[in-house]
Order: sequence, then structure tokens, then C-alpha cells
Amino acid sequence: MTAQLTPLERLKRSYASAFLRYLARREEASLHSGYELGRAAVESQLSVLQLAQVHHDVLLEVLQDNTDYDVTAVATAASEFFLEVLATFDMTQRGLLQSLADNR
Amino acid sequence: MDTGPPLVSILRQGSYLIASINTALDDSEMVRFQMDLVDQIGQHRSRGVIIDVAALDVLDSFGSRTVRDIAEMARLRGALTVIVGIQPDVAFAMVELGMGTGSVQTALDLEEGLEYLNSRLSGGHTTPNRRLAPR
Repeated sequence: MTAQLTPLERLKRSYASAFLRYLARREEASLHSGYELGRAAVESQLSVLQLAQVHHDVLLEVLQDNTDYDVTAVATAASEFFLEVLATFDMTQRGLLQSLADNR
Repeated sequence: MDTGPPLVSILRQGSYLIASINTALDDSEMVRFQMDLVDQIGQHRSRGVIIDVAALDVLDSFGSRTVRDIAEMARLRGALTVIVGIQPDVAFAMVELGMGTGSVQTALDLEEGLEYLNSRLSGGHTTPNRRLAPR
């Protein structure tokens, strides 16, 4: 019953599959789903700390499950994906700082 | 030198295997993929297999038969298989040509595939927080 999931639970569920897809294919479309996850997180008023926790948990799980994978490749993919997820937070913060500066 | 993604990748997620076909495979590559995957089901004692074909623009008759064979072999090895990511054009062509996935379960994408396996195999997949120590 997906309707009963909280935004954080929804994020956790979607993050793992989106990251695994990116890790497997390293294509723009998979990266874009990371951006959409970040956007949905902002809309749901999740914090950047919650997002970081989810990212860390997923990355840890992938590293533990796939010990034969190149750690550098996984970490690099994780970094690229996380930056994309954080893009909306970054834009929001910049917008906020700009409007604060404009109001001074 | 960056050589790009591999032709196929097989990742583990808890007790599931997620096999992504990243580009069109020729017949021998498809057979090798089949052998690798069936091998890894036993190696990792996997209970579920997701075959992600989202990157494929074409799934020919040999390819779809191989995917069906993988699902049957996985079943015989005790794992449940879901095919995910069949593109609209591919679905259209498969129906037009009378090809199909047989009785193999399909799902829209990887997320739906994981959800299906979770619903069928309780306890098979664990949440991202599973290894966090209790507070």
C-alpha cells in the first residue's frame, strides 16, 4: 500500500533502485531520476540531513552486498548521483540567500 | 581510460540479484549472460532476480527466449524472476511479432520490480537501514 508511506519511506524505497540503475548504466536518464528524487524531497520538506542519511545507508548496503565491485567506481558513481540529488537543495538555498540579500 | 558501462551488470541487493542489460547483446553474449546469472543465483543463494531491459531498444526472438529461459532456470534454482523496463516500442514489437515473456512476471521499472519481490518473498529484501545498530 504505497499511499501509506511517509515521504521519507518513499524516498528510501526509490533511492536504492534509482542509484542501482545509475550504477549499472551510468546514463543521463538514471542520473536525472536522482535529480527528481531531490526535487521530490524538497517538495516533501525533507531535510538535507535526512537525504544524506538515506544516501549513506543505500551506499553502505551496495558496498556490503557487492564486495567484488570496484569500490572506487561505486564511490564515484555515488558521488555523481548524490550531487544530482542535492542540486535542488543547492538551488533553493541560493535562492533563499539571494532573497535575503535583496531584502537587506 | 573510461570504457563506459559494461554490456551487462549483475548487482546484489540483499538476497536479490539485479541484472541490467546495458546494450543489445549478440547471441553468444546473451548465453554467457544467462550462464553468469544462473551461476550467481547459486553462489549468492539469491531468492529473487530482476532483469532490467530498460536500455534495450530491441528484444529479438532469441533474446526474449533467453530471458524466459533464465527465468525458468532461476525458478528451478529457487529464485523468482521479474523482468522490468520493457520499453513501449519493444512491448509493441513483441506483441506484433507474437513474442512474449510467457508466465514470467513483469514490472514497469526497477522500483516496481523490487516491490513485487518484496511482496512475494517476505524478508527477502531488507531496507537501507537494516544494518544500523538499534538505538
